[in-house]
Amino acid sequence: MTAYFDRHTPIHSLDPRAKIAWSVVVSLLAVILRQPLLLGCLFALTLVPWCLVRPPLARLHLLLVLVGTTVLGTMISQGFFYGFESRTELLTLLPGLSLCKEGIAYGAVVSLRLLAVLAAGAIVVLTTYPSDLILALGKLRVPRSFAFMLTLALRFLPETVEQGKRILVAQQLRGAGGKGMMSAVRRFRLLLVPLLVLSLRSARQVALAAEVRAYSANRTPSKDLRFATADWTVMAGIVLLLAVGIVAALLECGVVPGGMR
Amino acid sequence: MLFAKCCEMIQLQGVTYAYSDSALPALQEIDLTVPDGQWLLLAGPSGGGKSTLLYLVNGLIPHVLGGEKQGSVQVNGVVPADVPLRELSRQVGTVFQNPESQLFMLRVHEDVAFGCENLGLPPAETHSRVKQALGRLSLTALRDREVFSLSGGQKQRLAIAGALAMGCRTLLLDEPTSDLDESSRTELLAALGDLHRAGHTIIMTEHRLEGLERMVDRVVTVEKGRIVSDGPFPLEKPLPLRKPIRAGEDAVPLVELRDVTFAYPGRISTLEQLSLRLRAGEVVAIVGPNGSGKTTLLKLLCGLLIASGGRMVITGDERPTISNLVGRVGFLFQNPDEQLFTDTVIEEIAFGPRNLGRPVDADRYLERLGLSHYRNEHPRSLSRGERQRLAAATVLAMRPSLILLDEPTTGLDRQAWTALMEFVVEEAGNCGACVVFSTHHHEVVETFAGREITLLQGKIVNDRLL
Repeated sequence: MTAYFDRHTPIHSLDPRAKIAWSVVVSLLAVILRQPLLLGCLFALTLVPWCLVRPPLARLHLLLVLVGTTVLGTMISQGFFYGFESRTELLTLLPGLSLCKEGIAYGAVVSLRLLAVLAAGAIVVLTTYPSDLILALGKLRVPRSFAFMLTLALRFLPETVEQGKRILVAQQLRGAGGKGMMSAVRRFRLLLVPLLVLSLRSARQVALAAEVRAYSANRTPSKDLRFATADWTVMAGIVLLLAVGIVAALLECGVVPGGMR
Repeated sequence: MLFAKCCEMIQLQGVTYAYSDSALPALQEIDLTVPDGQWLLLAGPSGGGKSTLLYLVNGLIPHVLGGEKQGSVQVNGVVPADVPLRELSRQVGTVFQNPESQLFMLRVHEDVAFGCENLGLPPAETHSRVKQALGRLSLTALRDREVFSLSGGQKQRLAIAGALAMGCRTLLLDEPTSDLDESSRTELLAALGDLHRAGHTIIMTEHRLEGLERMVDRVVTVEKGRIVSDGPFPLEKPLPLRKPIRAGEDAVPLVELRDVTFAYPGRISTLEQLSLRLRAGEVVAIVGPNGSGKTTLLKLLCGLLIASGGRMVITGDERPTISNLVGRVGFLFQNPDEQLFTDTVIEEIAFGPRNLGRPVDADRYLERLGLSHYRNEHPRSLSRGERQRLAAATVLAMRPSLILLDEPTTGLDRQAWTALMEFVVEEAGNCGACVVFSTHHHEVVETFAGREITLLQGKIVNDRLL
């Protein structure tokens, strides 16, 4: 029920903090780099851990559909609505509404950024067991109450989804249906109210159960995270990547003489 | 040392308690002493004050729930109100009715460790306690399993393991078996029997008394906030004998299944080569352990699932889908709160018939259920038993010819489930409908069903008239 993909790979064995660092650095570089070539290289680099993990395509179906739709949508919308002066028109649909080459290229750059960030972030979620991820967040000074809230969200999300499905079925069995916006809004309201009430009731029970199990934000986790040699090696690689990326970004901007501008 | 060892472990003297949002006391003049190592069963109808009594012992009253209390409560010589809940939780463990709402972590061993981590125990100590607790509850093999993949019985044992790992000698269990099938219930009771023999004090509230006769030391009955009896296990009053409702040979067949197979995607068959005929006017109980296919069969009968093989005819429809069967097949869920979604009780009953364009005398149902004075109230202001009967009325108001009920008596006391089943069977009889219900509750089967179908691993292993 979680996104975690259970397999023994070198990426799974890494300390979650190293994986989080990877995701943060890739996201940073995706923001500061501008050249399509460099962004393409960055995206290609984010695919290396994916090659090591090799999750089955069926597992990624939804993610691939979402990413594919977003990339295509971004390129097409930028192609039509690119606002800069230089526009090489490829196709005119209506007067004032045309697809331009520069817009598509710009859309591709934006998409590459998005792809790099997604690829680096998704590998963290895919290869780290949720409770290890939460433990890592605690180590990174994220407040423990927030981390516990995340655990509860992961723990109770599947049940809430199931409850929502059952409420919708109950409505359907009592003839609630109809097409159109108003009908959809009405059904949504009829779903939302009982779901909220059930969640609040469940939250109260959870709170009582947590109290009798001595819940405290100052807990002593029974598991600890320790950096191994592989983690330090990966961290060194990440720092090197960051340094190279920053230099490349400075060269792009012309801050450093000999830039690509 | 905060807790002193003494022979009278739990003692309540002259306790009267009222919740802060209620003028009426939930408990009145309670005098109760539970010696160390005793297994005490708290019996009595829902709303009688059993759970409130547990909350007084585990310290939720007054630490979390507040309210007005008179009299004294002592646990191992200390007053729960005077010690932090955190300290009390080292001595008194609580297991609630719903296994879902008391397990916090994602994996079994993590959840057992949860309480120890809260107590700030050193990791090595926590690991040792977790290992021991898992062993005592026969959960070692499930150590790394995800909590949501466990059965109801395993979840309840996990909750007990969590309490044991914290060092609790006293266990409070609030209707721990009401969501369990027979085999899970037997497993849980056996585990509790082991803990009792090991000297743990157990206080348990329960509606289902079968199987407990030779296990508990003492039964205290709480009704309307007072202790009305205290002694050894009482013999239950037998229900008045009812004539089981069977269909005549010439009754119209409503359901015809031939070699029906069903498998959830990516899994082996849940139902295999199932053949079955159900007639108008029958009251049929579907029994069998959890995972035997009871709910899947009901979902197939209401068109919610589509069979992967075989032939199905339901109320004359050879392609039964949910949209085809609306109005002809009614389905009552286990949890009434999942099918009450309008703002008033009267609107709730009228909702289905109005969608189908059928007339309905909603007030007649309210009168029959004794809910007329709640007519314009929100459905959630009713008690659990009343909500379950209202949910049944919402189904029956559409006058379906096939009425399906998924474990309808779960969590209801005897009075509430008798009222519910009497209502359903009577209303179904008025319109010649067939009633099919799944249950783990033998008493309900014996009282109301005219036919019992037993499922085991997706197959019918027994089909008999009662």
